[in-house]
Amino acid sequence: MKCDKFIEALGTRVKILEVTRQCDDQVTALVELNDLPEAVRFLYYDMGGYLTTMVPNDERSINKHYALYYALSMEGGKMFAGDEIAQDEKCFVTIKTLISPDSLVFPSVTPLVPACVWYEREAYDMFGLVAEGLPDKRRLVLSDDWPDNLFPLRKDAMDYRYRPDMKDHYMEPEYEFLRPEGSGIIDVPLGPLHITADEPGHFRLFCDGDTIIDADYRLFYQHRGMEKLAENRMNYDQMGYLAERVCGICGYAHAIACIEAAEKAINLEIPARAQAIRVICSEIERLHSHLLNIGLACEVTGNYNAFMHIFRIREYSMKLAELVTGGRKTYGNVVMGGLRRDITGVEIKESLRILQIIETQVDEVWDAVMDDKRQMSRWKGVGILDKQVARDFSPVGPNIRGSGIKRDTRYDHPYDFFKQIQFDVAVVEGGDVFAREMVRYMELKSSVSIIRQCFELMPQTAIIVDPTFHVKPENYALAYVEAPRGDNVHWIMQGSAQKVFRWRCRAATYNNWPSLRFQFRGNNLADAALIVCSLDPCYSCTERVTVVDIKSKKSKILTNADLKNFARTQKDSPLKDLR
Amino acid sequence: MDFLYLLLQLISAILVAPLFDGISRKLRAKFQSRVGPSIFQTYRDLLKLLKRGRTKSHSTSYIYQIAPYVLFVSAAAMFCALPIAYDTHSGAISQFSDIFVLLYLGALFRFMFIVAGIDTANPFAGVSASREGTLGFYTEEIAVICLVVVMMGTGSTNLAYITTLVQEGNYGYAFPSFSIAATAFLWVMYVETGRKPYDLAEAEQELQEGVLGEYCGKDLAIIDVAILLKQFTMLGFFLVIFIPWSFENPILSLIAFLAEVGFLYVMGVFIDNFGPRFTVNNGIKRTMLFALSISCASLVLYIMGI
Repeated sequence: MKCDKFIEALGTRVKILEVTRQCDDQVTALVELNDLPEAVRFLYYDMGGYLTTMVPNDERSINKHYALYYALSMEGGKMFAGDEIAQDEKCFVTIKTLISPDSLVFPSVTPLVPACVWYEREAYDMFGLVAEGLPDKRRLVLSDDWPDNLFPLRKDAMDYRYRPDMKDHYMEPEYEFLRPEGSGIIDVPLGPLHITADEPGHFRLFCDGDTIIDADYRLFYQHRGMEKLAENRMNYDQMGYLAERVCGICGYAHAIACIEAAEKAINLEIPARAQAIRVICSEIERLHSHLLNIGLACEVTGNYNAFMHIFRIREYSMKLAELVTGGRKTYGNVVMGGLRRDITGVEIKESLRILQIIETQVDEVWDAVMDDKRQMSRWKGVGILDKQVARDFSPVGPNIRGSGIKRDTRYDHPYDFFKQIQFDVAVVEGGDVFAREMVRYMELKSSVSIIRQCFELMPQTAIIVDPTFHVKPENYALAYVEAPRGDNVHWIMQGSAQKVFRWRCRAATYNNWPSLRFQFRGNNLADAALIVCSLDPCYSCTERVTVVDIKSKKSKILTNADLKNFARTQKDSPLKDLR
Repeated sequence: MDFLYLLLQLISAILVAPLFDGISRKLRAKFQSRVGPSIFQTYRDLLKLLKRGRTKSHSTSYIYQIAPYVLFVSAAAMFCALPIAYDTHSGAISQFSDIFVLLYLGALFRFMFIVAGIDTANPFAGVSASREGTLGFYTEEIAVICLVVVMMGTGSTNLAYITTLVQEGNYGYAFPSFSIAATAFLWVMYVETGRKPYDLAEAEQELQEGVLGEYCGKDLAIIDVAILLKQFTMLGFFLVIFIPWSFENPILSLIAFLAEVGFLYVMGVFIDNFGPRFTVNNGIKRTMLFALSISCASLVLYIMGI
């Protein structure tokens, strides 16, 4: 079977207590707490794995312990051309370990595998699990004035009576940025509201003259508490609708990933036509997302002309979404067992016509942009993501493919209809903004071809299977979808009564943030916004976690009274003390 | 009477400039496959801003408050120094119309612009202000070299006098040094108008806002008018020296001048609409070196006596 090779090899290094198989390509190995760093490092570097996600979980009601799941995608190191692991051996290996509720301490993996840093910081915020040896122990997700002893994702936390007192926003503590040492360094805050994206994220740039020496950032200003919301409250059909609200751009990818995680855990195979339409929708999403990003990458350098023309083309992709799903956004379509809406022959015909328009016009505009030497000089050599940094931090999507690493979930772990579809993974060497935009352009082309293939190969079957099923409590599975920005990974542990026990949603951008710091270094201040933009960051995607209580109240204050007042008088910025 | 014409020159420019800005916005929109705002949109923007109150942050000083007025007055004075509705016969006023007056008023404008940016204590305004200063280093010496050629060639620094000389054909394109200087000077004057790819003044996405990031309401409207006036002055500076086109009737020459300037202003869309901005240490340095070498060539030609 798949994965056995890796488990065997792991067995020679550390003691494996238990091996469980979730589905065909997903295996979990339980190791002892002290073996955790070595086990993860061995799989990551020696066996060629990438960190997909890490899930802390409160399993006290199941086995009286907290659990950590480090899910690794075994797909080869990919530092050189060619595959190190054969296509049919690629799989997911999860390292599980149990932490006693008395100690709440686990050895940090971050010193050995830097990719874990954000996950381990979040584990403290959400569960109070302390990573011993973690170099950076600041809060990641929760606000700085969150009470010390309240960990929202614990099953017994967030009792109404625990609600903390309100604090005035000027009482909120300052966030400590990691400041490089030395004299003559100027702090330049980019944020807390990113000007191009109009989204909250505070990047503190440390500059010497015009050059950025280092950067630190504070994100997660707006948590929506989705993971907590889903637990024990929603059924699986509702989950899909919740998941697609994680993001405004790649919502469909989140919905598929979330629903497929549940489908995998019960081994439900959906009809081929539904699979094909799911792929079509996620590729339409890729079309409009990549057009958006290429347009913005022109706009932040001041090239409004190219931006406007690219957005004109993007309008066609929205039209395409309207034909396929009935709405301009690909929302509200995915349910357990299939889809809610089928496509007619007329719609397919019209879609093919629009695809043709998109393909020609994208080529025209892209050629014009490529011919513009000034535009190229703004993109080339800016924001370089070094290949080794990329290997260490497991970024995803165009971000890593622009650094010459051939990492694409559609290729490594083909899901749904992708097993039948021919496409090339877009890989560009260089790691700069230009390389990332080039990857996006190539993916636009391949998306058009994938949608065409789907229309052609789509069989005439039903689009939904009878969704009567029974989930088994404590089953869990991982589902992954290559969203425009990289892979969205959802991990669902099922609870009783058709409800979710733990939902872990990891959006693509979450894996891309930690390495951004390295991309900033040595660049010109004028390029800072461009570098952030080239990541195609999605703020709302990463900010899905946490609980609404304090945060929602605070944001209410901002919007209603302060913000209006601020808009009128322009005095006493409500964001001032957040800086 | 002359003073009235001078006043008319200033007021008509202030009234007409937003129209040409509106036309260029409309034209730009057409290039970008948009419908675009009406050509009177700039008037509406200014009126709306003028109705708004002014606010100021705690970290600013009196400089922030006086800057809009100083900017406006210096831009207006610059525009008045152009001999359009008056000529050499206008006595005291024509004495004011001098190349050095324009250069120093331009320097005052830039100085105030930079100081106002730094005074807000906004790091982005500060960075933009320093870029604005750097841009000055690149443009001013080119402008001065071109003007030196003209001043030596005509033997005067009086703009009204130079205009008359060139229009009457006693001095002009027969001299290669003059025509080459025209090229470099037009280039520099375009840069001075602060439009893409050389714009640093406002709404720079790279730096979040730019020098004017902290200004709003009435102050911003005044600065906007001042910048429009400065842009007109810079294009006019080129026109009065290199393409003078005046008539006996001051009103007629004023209309001709405004049409000329407006045409140049709108044609600027063909440059500023396409392509991204330059960064200071990359594009601007390279292209301005090219302009510098043109102006040096014209100086060399002048020294050689042709």
